[in-house]
Amino acid sequence: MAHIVLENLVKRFGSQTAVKELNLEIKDREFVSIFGPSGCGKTTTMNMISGLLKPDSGKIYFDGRLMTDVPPGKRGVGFMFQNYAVFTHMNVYKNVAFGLLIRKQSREEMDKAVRAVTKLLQIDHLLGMNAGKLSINDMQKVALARSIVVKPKIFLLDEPLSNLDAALRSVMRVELKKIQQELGQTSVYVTHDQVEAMSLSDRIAVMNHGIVEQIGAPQEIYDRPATMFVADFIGSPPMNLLLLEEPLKRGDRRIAYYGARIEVPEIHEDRDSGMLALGVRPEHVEISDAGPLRGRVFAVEYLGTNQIVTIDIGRAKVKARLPSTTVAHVGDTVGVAFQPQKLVLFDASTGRATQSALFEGAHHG
Amino acid sequence: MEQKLYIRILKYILVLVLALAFFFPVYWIFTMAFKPYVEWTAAAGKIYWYPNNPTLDNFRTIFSKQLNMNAMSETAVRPIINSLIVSIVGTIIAMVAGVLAAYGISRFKAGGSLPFSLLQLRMFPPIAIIIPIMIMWAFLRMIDKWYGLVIIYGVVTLPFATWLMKTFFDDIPNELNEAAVVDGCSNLGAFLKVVLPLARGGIASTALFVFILNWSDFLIALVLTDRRWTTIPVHISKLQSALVGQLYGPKAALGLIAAVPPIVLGILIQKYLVRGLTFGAIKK
Repeated sequence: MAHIVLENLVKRFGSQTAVKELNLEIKDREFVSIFGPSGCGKTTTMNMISGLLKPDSGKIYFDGRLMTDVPPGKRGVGFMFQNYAVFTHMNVYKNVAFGLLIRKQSREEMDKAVRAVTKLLQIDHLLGMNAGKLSINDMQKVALARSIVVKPKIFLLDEPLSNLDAALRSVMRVELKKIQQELGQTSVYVTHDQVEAMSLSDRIAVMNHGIVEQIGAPQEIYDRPATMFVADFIGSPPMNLLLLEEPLKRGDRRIAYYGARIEVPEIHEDRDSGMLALGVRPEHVEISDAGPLRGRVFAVEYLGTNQIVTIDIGRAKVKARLPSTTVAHVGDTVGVAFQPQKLVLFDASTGRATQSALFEGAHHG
Repeated sequence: MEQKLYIRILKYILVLVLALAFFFPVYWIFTMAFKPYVEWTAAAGKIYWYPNNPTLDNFRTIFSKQLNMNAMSETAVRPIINSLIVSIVGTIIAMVAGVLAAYGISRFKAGGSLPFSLLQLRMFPPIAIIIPIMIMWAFLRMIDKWYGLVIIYGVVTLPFATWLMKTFFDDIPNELNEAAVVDGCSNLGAFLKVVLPLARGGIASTALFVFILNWSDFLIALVLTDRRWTTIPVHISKLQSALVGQLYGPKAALGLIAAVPPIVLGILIQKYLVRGLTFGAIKK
């Protein structure tokens, strides 16, 4: 229903630049998460999309229409806040009807819309109740109902689940996804929870220090992180990053890590020198006597279906996600191998991933 | 942690003693109002701990003009009406200005150092500024005028109203404004439809405090009024006669009457008052 374009957005607060030259395109009906640590500029970006904040420079387009100077109420956005922003001096009905009342809709239409939305969210039995007396869960549903009842073209969600407890969060996550698919709005979701970002989004924009580090489908971001920050920020535990200093040559399929030969995806870039970081996801680490590296088991964390084994390989500690059936004891000396086709090499000084067959694969599907 | 028995007993004794010390004057003024002359006057040479012959004489004294022992020419009717008028209008002025100012300060960080200057205004002892004010008021011909008192009451209690309201507004999350604005409200609309109704408790309790401040003022009214617009506290101070000196019984009677409006108001807004006083505590 709406196609969002953010062009060179800049927002400063005093001497702090919260958002630097941000460019982002969100397709119609797409669910995009803006994901990053606190203070990365994600909420600021969101507030500029909604119109609550004015960018210092840059442009915002909805469906090709310039929106930068349009007030929030006229942008056709629904906004759901972290602490729900439920009006506790009104009952549930009035809360949900608030936006329609401001927009001066006819009473019948309003009534129909309120009843339809509350029924969809299963809060129709609470309509007469004082919103201040609701449980957190119901409050959040009221907030959700209020933001979707006005049929926004764009649905903005600012960490809507972060105040809920873990069990409720997973229930609401599924609910949110279902409703978004039913209504089909373009949705922007701000979160610092990677599970939410990964499970809800069509695409994720990973932000840090006011810029978008990478934007892509959840799996692409996970498998092919474009920067060290993304590699480190997504995944639990995060990607292992092993520092080494080696020149790279186009066509290489091996690199040397302090004497050990490690197979990597074919390298598509020449580099003379400089520090590199070899990125490997814990699930791509194997214990194998034939492995090129040796190490001592440093710690074992049992997690049920699998375990996180930390192996000290001398210059670094490597975390491996292994099946619980793998036998590993603290103090054991083990061989360590990496799944070659999954490895990423980063330029340690700029943080950018170097070109390799791994990323070529990305372009061809 | 379980406290030792004797410590607990000591604590209760201390509480009891303090409670007695605080409640005795209330008891004393209440009973004094109903004592006949011989029981409240020092001339009796004896202390009456309670009224032996309860009477409404004191009330009759303050409301009648020809009196056996009163040299006063005025009844208490006028001061009571005056007090009500100037206190209420002064409170309205302080609240309207204070609520709007507090909202600007709380939400938009308006005013720079002005909010703190307002606070500094409260640090002046009133006695230090009352003489210059009297001279200004005399120059403006506002002595012994209702608006003369109302303006100064509004100004004097404004910092108090502003700061108290600011804390209430601070406690209302800004997301509520933003939610209303995204739903199509203007900033003013969000203030009127969402923030003000949520701040009812704060407004009610702040208004009560401001009213009590105005109601109990003595110094300002003493200096800025003469005959026509004297208030209850000033009138109480005038209740004396050449014959018997201070008229403690009638003073107590009028004091008792003066205590009624704040108490009634307090009961009327009790629902909001409890919420208002504990506002911040519940929220976080």
